[in-house]
Amino acid sequence: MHQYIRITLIILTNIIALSTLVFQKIPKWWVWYYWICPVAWTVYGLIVSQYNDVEIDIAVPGQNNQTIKHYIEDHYGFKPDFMGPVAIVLVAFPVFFAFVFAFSIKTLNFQTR
Amino acid sequence: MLLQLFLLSYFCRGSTSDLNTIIGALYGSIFFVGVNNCQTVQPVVAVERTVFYRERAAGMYSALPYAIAQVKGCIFLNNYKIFCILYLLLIMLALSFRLQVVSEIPYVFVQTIYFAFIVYAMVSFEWKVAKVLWFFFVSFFSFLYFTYYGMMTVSITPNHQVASILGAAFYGLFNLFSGFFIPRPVSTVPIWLLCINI
Repeated sequence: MHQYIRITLIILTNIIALSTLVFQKIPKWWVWYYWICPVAWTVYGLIVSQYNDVEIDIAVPGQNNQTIKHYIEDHYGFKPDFMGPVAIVLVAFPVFFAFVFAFSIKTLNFQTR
Repeated sequence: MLLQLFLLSYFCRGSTSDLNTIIGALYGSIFFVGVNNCQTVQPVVAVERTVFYRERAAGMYSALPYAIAQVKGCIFLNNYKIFCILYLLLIMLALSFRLQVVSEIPYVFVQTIYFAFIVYAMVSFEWKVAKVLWFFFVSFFSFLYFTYYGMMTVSITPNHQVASILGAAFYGLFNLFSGFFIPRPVSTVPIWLLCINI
């Protein structure tokens, strides 16, 4: 039973995905979810920490050649000096999840007999 | 298996497609390992919760925090604030997780070590100490929050089947809104310009 519910949910998110792909950017009314999405911070941290000082030129389709640093800032909107807050948030997410886990293990009781 | 999946990601940096391939391979592998962590931790935590219920019913679980409180009380007696904070944290840890949360850390750590070295060597990053450490940091905490997310879903649902449904509901959203497939709107560039450039 639970497999079917899971597949339905995945299909539903795919529909949202298709509708957002039409816009090519995250719609404004969904941006708040970007900021609470933990994986977004992972991607931000990865890209910024690896490419924040790379000055190699790359070919960008439809535009002039740009440095990787500029492309990252222009296409993804990742600022090179935002690594500190990203690091803090990346530590905060596990702490938050662990706290919710501890709290709900303590308070909620799903004991069956 | 992970190695085979992402072996193709060895590219140099020539164009945006190379860059996007590297970022995509990295992102995909971290997401894949994270979801795996999340799914595999759920049944384990569900079983351990049953054990926890039994021990709580038997009144066994208060011995550990009591012991910790005794020891820490002697050490931190002269520094009251730190003592209070540490005491509360330790009580939280020992009482309600049964040190479960802490016990996940070594597993994730070892996993990150081999993950980081295999992946970092393959994706043509620079061999600088700071960058390797940043990569290690980001992937470690990503795996950690995926694991804890899995544990959290178990703790707020009655059994691990429901937990896996709740978890899967958010994988899709995490994936979508991670800003890789669909970048966030950049306020400095007008939207219509970006549309033309496609």
